[in-house]
This record gives sequence, structure tokens and C-alpha cells, in this order.
Amino acid sequence: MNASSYIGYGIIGTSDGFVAQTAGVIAGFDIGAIVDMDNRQLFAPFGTEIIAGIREKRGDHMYTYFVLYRYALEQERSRKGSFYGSVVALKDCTADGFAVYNLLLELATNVKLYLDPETSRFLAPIEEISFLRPNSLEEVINTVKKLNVQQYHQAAYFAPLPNFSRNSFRFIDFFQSDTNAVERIFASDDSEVLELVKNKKGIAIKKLQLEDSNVEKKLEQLENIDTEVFIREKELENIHFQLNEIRQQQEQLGQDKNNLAQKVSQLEELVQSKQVALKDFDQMENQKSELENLINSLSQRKSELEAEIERLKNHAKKAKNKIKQKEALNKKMVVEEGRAKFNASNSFKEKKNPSGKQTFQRFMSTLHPVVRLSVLVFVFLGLGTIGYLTTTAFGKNRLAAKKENITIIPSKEILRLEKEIHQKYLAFDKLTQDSYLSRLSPFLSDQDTIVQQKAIQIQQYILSIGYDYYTKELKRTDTIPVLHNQLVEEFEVLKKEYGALTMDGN
Amino acid sequence: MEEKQSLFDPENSQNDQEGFEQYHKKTSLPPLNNQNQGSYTSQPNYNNEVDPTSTMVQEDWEETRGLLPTFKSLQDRKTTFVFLFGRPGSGKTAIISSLCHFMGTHPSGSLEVRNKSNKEGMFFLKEIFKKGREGLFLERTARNKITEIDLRYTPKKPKKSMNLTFLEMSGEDLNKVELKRDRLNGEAKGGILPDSIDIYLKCPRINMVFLLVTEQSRVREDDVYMFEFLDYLRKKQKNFRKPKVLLLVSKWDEYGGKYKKDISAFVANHMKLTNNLLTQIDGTISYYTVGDVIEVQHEQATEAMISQFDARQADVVKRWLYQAITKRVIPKQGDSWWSKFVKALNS
Repeated sequence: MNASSYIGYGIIGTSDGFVAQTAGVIAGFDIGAIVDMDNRQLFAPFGTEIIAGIREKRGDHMYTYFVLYRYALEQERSRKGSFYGSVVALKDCTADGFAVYNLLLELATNVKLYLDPETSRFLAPIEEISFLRPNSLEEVINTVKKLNVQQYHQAAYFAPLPNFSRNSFRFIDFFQSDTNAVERIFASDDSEVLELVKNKKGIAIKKLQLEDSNVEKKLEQLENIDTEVFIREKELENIHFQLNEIRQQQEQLGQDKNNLAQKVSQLEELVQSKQVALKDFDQMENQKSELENLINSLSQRKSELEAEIERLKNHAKKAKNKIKQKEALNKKMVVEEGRAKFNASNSFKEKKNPSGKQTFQRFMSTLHPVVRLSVLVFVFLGLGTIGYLTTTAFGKNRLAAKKENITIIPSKEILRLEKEIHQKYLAFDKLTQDSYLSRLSPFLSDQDTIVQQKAIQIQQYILSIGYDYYTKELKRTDTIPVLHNQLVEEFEVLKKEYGALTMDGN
Repeated sequence: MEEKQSLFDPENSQNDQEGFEQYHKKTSLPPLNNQNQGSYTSQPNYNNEVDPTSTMVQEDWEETRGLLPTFKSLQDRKTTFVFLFGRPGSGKTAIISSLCHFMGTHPSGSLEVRNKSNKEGMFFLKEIFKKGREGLFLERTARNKITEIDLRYTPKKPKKSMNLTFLEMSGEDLNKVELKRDRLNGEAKGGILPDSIDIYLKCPRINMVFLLVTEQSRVREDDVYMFEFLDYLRKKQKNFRKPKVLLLVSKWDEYGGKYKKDISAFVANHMKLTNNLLTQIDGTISYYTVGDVIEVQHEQATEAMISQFDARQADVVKRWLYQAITKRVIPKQGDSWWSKFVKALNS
């Protein structure tokens, strides 16, 4: 007969509520409904363990379960009543208590590996614990006998079990052979469990009458097993240590992978930003040519204005000459007119007095010397008045010249235009610098020091350049695009390297 | 409280067929198919599981007849069952504990144990009060155990009492409603609750309200879970087409997201299926917290403890229960006509 038709086994625990993995005759059973511990009656406090024997009548068959409960904490909660352990089920049969206990220990040890050694908190859900056919199963199969107990009482009690590890197999033997069979018996040697059962008053407490058959022999075997368990526990610790190291390595690798992925994504972002920067660069070039056109047109306008000013200057010069000519003409006319008047008066005097000078001299000689002086002063004043009037006539001609639009030279306008052009140049200069600096900013904070250094160099260069207004030339060489292309190339190389690492799955 | 009609009494029934028809009439079972008497085939199959209301045959009736005494005993309890549904560790036991603790200790009303013969329930209540005093949580609920806690609560105003029975059961058992794949053979399993729980849902003419409990950190995965349960309910009984449901998002004190002040938006955003169904059945949404929880070390063992009990949400749930059960409202402080009058004068 196949062992899986009368023996079952499994691991149990409350990693996130009760969960079990079962095999053999109990595979697919809702084992939780049978073996989950009723916390109203008892539970395993920190560092304790409890063994239980449970009977179940399922159809025509009698199932006997042996369960080992040990304290644990759920993965994400700290509820009391949580545990881990193992279960062995016998269908219509009995098996040697020693073999059954050994199997329970082996299964529970398997679960222990997935618990935090200090807090006993589950590190993984029960479903994820690797569950293989245990080595101790053969021993159980070899000791299987037909079950005699067919009926049991619906009762349960707790039994103190001194020296738990030594007497657990005796408890299993007792449960299987008990003539006064009950549904459930729980046993533990821990005083805390006993105290708990007493306080909760949910279950009776009884003393067990354990059999003494073959005890010596079995105790000897147990000594050997203890040694084996000790060795296995040491191995387990070793495995635990290695497992922790592997977990740490895994975590480290995971972190490395994340870091690399992050780096790759950063680099991708950098490529994108560089592409954007290149686009910006093109736009800047366009803007620059537009500005240059504007500057050219302004320069042209300036030249035109200068030409206009020159023309106006010439015009003013011509006007001035004309005025001078007219003035000369006027003077000539006044002189000629005066001469003509003078001639006319002389001819009249000649008719009465052949010599006017003589007459005047005669007249003067008749006068008192003081009066004579006054007459002379009067004559001079008269001549002066004539001279003033002539000058006034010239002034009138100047006003007339103004009325002919001969304006002053507009030097302020020229200065304003020059200033405007200068400002345009400065604006262009600032725009160019800002654009370069903004495109440089991602490189300045780059983690790669080479890229960062180059970016700083470019930044300093950009800050040093400017438009020379007077020579109308940007003091810029092709250094920036060249450096930019170098950065892109270096980045591509880096990306390939990181890409290669990621492709390796590291 | 709504007066309950007693179900068919199997002892006084003349014959099986009569009882069968009478039972059928009073429950939500589909009508008899005249062309194929004794068989019921009108309902769609639900999750490949046998729907007890869809394919009822004479054998099912035999089974149901066996349940009738249990149904009757449930109906005779003259109480409203408070069915808490949620995953293991979602906080069902903590909610029952804090509610009982609040109703028992707060001066706004009085609590008494209603059914003295229910020793398990009394024992559970004793544990609640004992642990509540120390700010400790109860242990996790074991599988296959249902504890009924029969209580009577009388608020100061109005004086009308409400009888309620909390159903304390393990989340692992409730998880059976979820349809899953078997790890060994890949076959679909679940989709049906254990009989010990299902009996409450099958029993006609009993009053029942539902508290759906979901942990704030698991709402997304619980969305389908809650939907499955509500759908399961709706197919169980006609009465449950529009059940009285309060969705409680538990451990709210641990949530620090953008919906902290708007639980409805939180549920609408994270539990779209459930939210939609709740809207259709006029369900209520609230959050729950027992207060500040700390983890203390007893030597090497770790234990969760309530450092500061927050009674506000317990009060909210108590009020909801009272209204759902008695159809009356417990007035809040300042809701009296005199207070309103004074308030109106002041304003």
C-alpha cells in the first residue's frame, strides 16, 4: 500500500493568518479547521512549544493528528497566538511515537529557517517555504500498525509534560494507545503555558500516565538524535548565516541594479536634455542671425542718418555762404546808396557855395571852440548811428535765413541712435550668454566629474565672452559646439558601458 | 424593531412537499419549474460553485429541512446579528473589542449581557473588558470557531434598547469566499463560505447588519474581495439584495496620504468596484481606529498595545448600528430642541 494513502504531513504557521502546506493523505485538506490553535484556550507564548494530539472522524475513517506548535510572530503584525510548526497525520493507523516526533521536529526545523532568529518573526509566507519529502518519513512508514481506537469523547484537556523533548514521543505513544480516548490533548513543559491555561479557564488540566515500555532504549536513541539535532542545528545556523549573506548580497545586487537603472534613466534624460539643448542651439543660431540682420539694418540706418546729417551740414554751410553773400551785397548797396546821396548833396552846395568844405570851415571858424567840439561829436555820433543801422539790417537778414529752415545740427539724435544700437548689442550679448548657461546647467550638476569639469570650463568661457560693439563682432569661436560634441560622445560611451552592465542582468 | 415572522415549523408540517413549498415561498428561492418539477435551474452558475438557490433539488430540500431547527433557533433569538467580514488581521476582533469596551464604559448608554446561557460569549466579553483595561489586544481568532456575543445596549436618549449579537469569526474562514487556484492541481476552489458561517446567511427572516473591514494598506487587493462577498450575499437571499452595510477602513491612524480627511474619496479612488456596489445598495463608508498603538517589548517578546484609546470612531459605529437596528437616531450633544433654539437665538 502506498504510504501517501495512510500518512500525511505538513508545515503550518501564521505568517499572515493561518496557512499550511500539506502532503500525503492530508494533501488538499482544510487542515486549518482541524489543527489551528484555539487561542481562547491556550497559545504558545514567546520561546515556548506545545505538542497536541487530535482525533477526527472523517466518514468511515479515523484520522490521528500530531501537531507541534512553536511561538512566532506574523510577518506584518504582532498579534498574540501566532505560531509555526508541523503536523503528522495517520489515517486508520498508528506509528511509533519516537518516529512521529522525529518527523515533526524535522518539518518544524524546515520552517524555522524562514524565521528571524531573534524575534521569531516570519520572514517569508508559509506558502513560499520549500517543502520536500522529509528523511524521517521512512521511519514512520516502517513502524505503522493498525489502529484499534475507533471511538473518542468530544473532550479536550491540557497536560503538563515535564522534560518536553524527552517525553514528547511518550506523549504520542500515550495518545495513540489511550483507551479513554478524547478528541484533543495539548501538552507542554512550560510553566507560562500552564499559567495561561489556568487563567483562561477554557480547557481542563489533567496529568498524564505515560507508559514506560522500552524507555531506556528509546532514551538512548533520543540521546543520539539529540546529538544529531545539535549537529543539524549548527548546520542550520550555518545555513542561516549563509542565507543571510545571500539575502544581503541579493539586496545589494538589487540596490546596484536599481542604482544602475537609475543611472541609465538619468543618462537617458541627459541625452534628451542634450538633444533639446542642440535644438536650442539651432534656435539660438537663428536668433543670432536675426539679431545680426537687425544690427546690420540699424547700422545701415545709422549710416543713412549720418549721410543725412552730412547733407544737412552741407546745406547749412551753403545757406551760411548765401547769407554772407547777401550781407556783402547789402553792405555794398548801403555804401553805394550813401555815396549816391553824398554826391547828390555836394552838387546842390556847389550851386550856392562852390566849396562846401570851405563853407563848413568858414562856419566852424565862426563858432566858439567849445561849440565847435560839440558839433564834431555830433557828427561822429551820427556816423555811428548809420553804422548801427547797417548792422541791424544784417540781423534782419539772419532771421530771414532762419525762416528758410536752416536748423541747428541734430547731434542728440545721433547719440540716441548710437545708444540704441549699443543696447541692442548688449541685449544680444546677454541673450547669447544666458542661452549657453541654461544649456550648461544640467552638465554642471552631472555626477561624472569629467563632464562637470568641462562644463565649468565652458561656463567660464561663456562668461568671459561678449559682443564688441565697436568692431561689431561676437568674440566667440567654435569652441562651444566642439566641447558640446565631445560631451555627447563621452556620454554615449558611458551609456554603452552601463547598458552592457544592465544587459548582463546585474 | 421589525417583527419577525416565524418560518415554517417542520414539526407541524403535514408532509415534506408542503414544507418544501412553504419554505420556498418564504425564502428567496427561485420559482418551481413546472416543466421539470422538483428541480431549479433558472439562476446562472456562480463561480463554478453550486449556488444553493439555483439548483435546488429534492435532496437539497432534505438538507435544508435538517437546517430548519437551527434556522428557527436563530430566528427566536430576537436579535440583530452583526456580521463582521474581513481578511485575517484586518482588525475585526479589535473593532468588536473596542466597541464593546466603549459601549460598556461610556456614560452615554449602558450595556448588558443578554443571553446568560451563552458562556462562550460571556467569556469573550470578560476577556474584552480585562484586556481593554490594560490596553491590550485580544489574540488572533482561531479557525473554525464562531463566537456569538449577545448584548443589549440602551442609550441615554432615546431610551429604546437594541439587541445585537456580534459574530466573531476568523478571517481565514471568511477567506473561503474568495475564488482561488489550488497550488497543487491548479483547479479553482473557494467561492463558498464554511457551513458554520453560511448558516447565518442562509437563514431567512433574521435581522443582520454587515461591517466590512478592510485594512487601509490593503484596500486595493481587498476591492475584489469585498465585491465577491457582497455579490455572494446578494445571491444568498432576497433580503440581502440591499443589505445594511458599513464599510470600515481600519488602522486609519497609520494612513498619512492625501485622502486623510476624505474617506469617501479614498474608497472611491482605491476600491472602485466596492464603492460602486455600495452606492447601489446605499452602504455607508467610514474609517476606524482604536487610537495610538505602540509595540512594547516584554523581555524578548513583542506585543502591540493601545497607548491612547480613541473613542470617536467607536461612537460613530455605535450610532450607525443603533440607527440600522432600531431605525432611530441617537441625538448628538447640542441636537436637542432647546439647544437648537438657543443656537438659533444666538445666531
